[in-house]
Amino acid sequence: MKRAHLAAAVSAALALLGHAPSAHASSFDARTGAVALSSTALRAVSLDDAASLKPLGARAAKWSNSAFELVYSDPAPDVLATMFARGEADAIEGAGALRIGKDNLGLVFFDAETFGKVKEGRFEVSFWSRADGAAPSFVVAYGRTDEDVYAKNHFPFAQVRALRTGKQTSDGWAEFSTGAIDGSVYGVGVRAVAFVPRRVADGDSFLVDALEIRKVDDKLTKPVACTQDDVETTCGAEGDCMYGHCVPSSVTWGPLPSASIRQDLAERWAHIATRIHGDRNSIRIAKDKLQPEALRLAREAKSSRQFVGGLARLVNELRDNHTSFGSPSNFTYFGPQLMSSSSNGLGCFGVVEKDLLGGGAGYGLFVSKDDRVKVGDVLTAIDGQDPKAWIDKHYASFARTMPNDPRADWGETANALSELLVARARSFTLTRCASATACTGADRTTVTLDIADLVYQSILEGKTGGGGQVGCTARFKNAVSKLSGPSQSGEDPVDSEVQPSGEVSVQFDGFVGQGGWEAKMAAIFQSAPATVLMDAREGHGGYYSAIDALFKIMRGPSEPWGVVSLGRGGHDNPDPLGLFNAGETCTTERGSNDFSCFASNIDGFFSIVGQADPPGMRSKVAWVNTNDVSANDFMPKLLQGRSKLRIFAPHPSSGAFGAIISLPSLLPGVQGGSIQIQDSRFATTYAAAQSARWESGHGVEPDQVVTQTQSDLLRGEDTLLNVARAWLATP
Amino acid sequence: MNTAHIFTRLSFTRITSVALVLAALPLAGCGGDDTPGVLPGPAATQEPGPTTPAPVPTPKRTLLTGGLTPTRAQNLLLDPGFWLTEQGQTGAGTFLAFYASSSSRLDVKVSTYSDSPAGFGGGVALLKDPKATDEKSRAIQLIASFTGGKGPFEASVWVSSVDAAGTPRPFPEDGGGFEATVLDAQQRSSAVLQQDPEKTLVVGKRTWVQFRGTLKKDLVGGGLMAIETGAKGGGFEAAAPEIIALPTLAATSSTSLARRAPEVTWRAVRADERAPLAAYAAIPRRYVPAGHDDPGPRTPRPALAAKGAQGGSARKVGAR
Repeated sequence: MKRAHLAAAVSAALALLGHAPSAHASSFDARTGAVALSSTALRAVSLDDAASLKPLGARAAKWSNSAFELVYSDPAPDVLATMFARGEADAIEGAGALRIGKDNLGLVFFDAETFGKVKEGRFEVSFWSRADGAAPSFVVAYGRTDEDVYAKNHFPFAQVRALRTGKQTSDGWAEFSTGAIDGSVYGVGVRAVAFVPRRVADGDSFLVDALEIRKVDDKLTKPVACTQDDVETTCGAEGDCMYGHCVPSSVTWGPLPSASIRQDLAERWAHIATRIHGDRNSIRIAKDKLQPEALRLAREAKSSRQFVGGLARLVNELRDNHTSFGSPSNFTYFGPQLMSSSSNGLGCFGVVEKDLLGGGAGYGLFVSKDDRVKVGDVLTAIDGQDPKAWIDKHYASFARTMPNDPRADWGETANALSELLVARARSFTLTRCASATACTGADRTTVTLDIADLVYQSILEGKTGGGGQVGCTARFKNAVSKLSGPSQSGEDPVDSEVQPSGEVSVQFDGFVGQGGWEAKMAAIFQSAPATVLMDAREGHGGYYSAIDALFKIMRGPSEPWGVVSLGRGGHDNPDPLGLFNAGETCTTERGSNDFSCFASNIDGFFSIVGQADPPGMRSKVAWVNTNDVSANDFMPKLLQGRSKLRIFAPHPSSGAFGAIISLPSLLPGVQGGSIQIQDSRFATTYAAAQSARWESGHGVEPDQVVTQTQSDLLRGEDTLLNVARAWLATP
Repeated sequence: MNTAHIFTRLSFTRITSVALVLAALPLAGCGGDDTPGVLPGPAATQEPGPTTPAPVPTPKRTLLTGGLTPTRAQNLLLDPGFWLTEQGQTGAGTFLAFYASSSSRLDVKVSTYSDSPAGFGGGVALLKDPKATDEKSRAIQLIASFTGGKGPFEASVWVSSVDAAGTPRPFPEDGGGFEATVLDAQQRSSAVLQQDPEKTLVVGKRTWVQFRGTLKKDLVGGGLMAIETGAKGGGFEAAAPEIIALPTLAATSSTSLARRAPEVTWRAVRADERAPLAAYAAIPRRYVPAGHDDPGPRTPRPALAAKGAQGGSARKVGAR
């Protein structure tokens, strides 16, 4: 009787502390310091010895060293026996616990009997673990066959990780749980639960004890038709909408973290965004929006879509292309974010001027191998709405990062559009013109693809692969005829060729370059060619040193200019008085490597007056931009205003003027977060920069706005290259 | 008996909640010390004396509330769990290790010990010269930069000692050459953190001690934490480093109720400390968009069913 009261009191206390809502049945007995297994669980495993594995359908597995796949084996009984710890402190339930880590060997439980019982409802997996050098690795894997659990060339249909619930003991044990998860997704059930470590160092391991699988309820998420606009009402708080059908958000954004962990994560992001971030515009947005909204989400969210997805969206809305919440490590169809700029079996879109459809910016099809669509088609509706309006509403929920300057969204979203349509739209409509000169009456048709049904059907049929992948770029045509791949050193390619007109055409994507990259650029301008076309339309940034090098190649001190990039002055105030006092030496070659410059996050360079102009200063240069970020913001900003140079683009660049730094994983299972730690000012001298504006958030304005026209698409002509070359050809 | 009580980022508020609800329970150690990750030490969990009746067995473990990260959310250090160090990342804010003598880089092993002060929320960094003996080793500096600003600041780090084989050993009475310091951007002087005698935890074979201190000044232009092993042999494990700007804590924060760290002592920056700092400062900054690095493998999106290009007939294309 006394113990019952005790358990009830503990339970009440933990409820007050905000542990994850769950149907936990295993209980911690404060008197004995041990966990007792539930008598009502579908499967409650003591994990005391190898015999306890018998009903679980256990197989041994380790991750391949060369491929993303599990290598299975059937271990001998004596090997299995060595995987159990029997020390007095090495169990929280019973007399032993499973110890995972030696030789990177783990166990996968293909418990078909139990998973069959929960297929039409929701269930929960929980266990206790202690990290003795390695954190536990765990996943619930859905699949049609056992092979789907990461056998060669297979991925799970869906998967869910477990998170700490917040229950932890004084000697390092913690309870982990999936929370309530669906027994099947789109009709595909659970195949296995797996504890397989990745790259555990010798001697490191983790213990697992008190594994339980419990039925929660019968509230299976039905795959009913949905849109991003009605996900809340159609799929419910705990649902998400992918491929036009409801899916439990546990398989997209992961389990819902416990209330205390939600609070911790929201506070940490609020702190980083308001007190460490360097982008002055983002800091303002963080104070106004992220901080209060993140804390509200932590309190009120009912699902991972609402909380994890909502927080990721808030981070995107900081409007900084160096800033990312990170991505759930989700190797299935249900990865919630847009990951690649590829055709996804559909095609590649680019930014177009809808000259045949009454004008205005839009998205046109640049590339496709699918005969249902055609190059030159223009997207005119997504889910019955204006495409840009739909994207403006929903892109932030699924992007990994967003341009600083919203006007730059066009280029970035065009690249992501195929995946966005495939994963998150129900239908879209293209408008097709018969030719570049015929687009009225019968010459104008529309094509609607109910893409969600097509993809959903494909999923049900078990088809894999994206139906052909083409890497998408902002270019309709390349500026050079022959492209090289990345160099062995990892530097960005710089491809150039001399046109019959004498123009030197240069195509490059970014500034990930050091000696080799700089030498190529120097060689191009060494002879001061009369005209140069620099096609940087897919600009993914790079190194400050490469920007500095090209600046010195292309702009001389007769037209002085420069930049200073500064970290925030302090956690309390990004721009205190005296912020610029100590930075000037950091913008000289002598001071650039000083520790104080590094600690204060100061970089920069300015024209050195008195030096001779470089040969490249004599060249007439057409700089072509579209989807340009970071170092590809800096470079055109540094060149703009130089005589005999014009920037051509459909819209401003991103406006991400600062260095990026990585963030550690703040939520288990989410990797790849980052922030910008500087902002930048441009001026003729360091002194003048002190009265210039912070530039992040302001993309580089094109000197001449040029957009690929729909009519040129149909003619097979690249409008930007044509206009830039026409300007170069003028005297 | 395990007398240490460790967990990750327990807030005073939460402890108070536990204390209120579980007032009658034999839950030891619900004092007012809000030091991240740590409940009051052994003194709070004495075994009953010989004359004390023992109606129930003393629990070998107690239930606590674990947090997400190894330190408080207001930590100015970006990576107190050493996850970026483990991944081999470089860049401002990441802890990087250098041999003090040569300023060459050293790979640091990072492990998760959930019974350490970092709990599950962070890793434990092993700072050990591979050629170390129990008596002699090359000095290693583990350093990370952080955003400065208005002080005062409270800095701390947990550390345990290992022998040359990496086996935990008692923490040396003379400190074994270990030192934790905080420098400002101008490197004029080093603030030396002091070992807190009230912050010693024995967990399994490890003895964790905390070095901490209060810097009663502003850190103009940023700062840097340096954790140095010295050259007296063996090595050290570091966990849960933290730099808190006290003004960032709300007046009602539990920390305001806590025992403040003693004031740091100051000394001149040594010449041999400057080379690793210069090496840290030479890390090139990156100007690439977020997500530029491949986040890892993922299965492609599903195929579009019955593609026309492949001869399928399930097209849903039509003029509108």
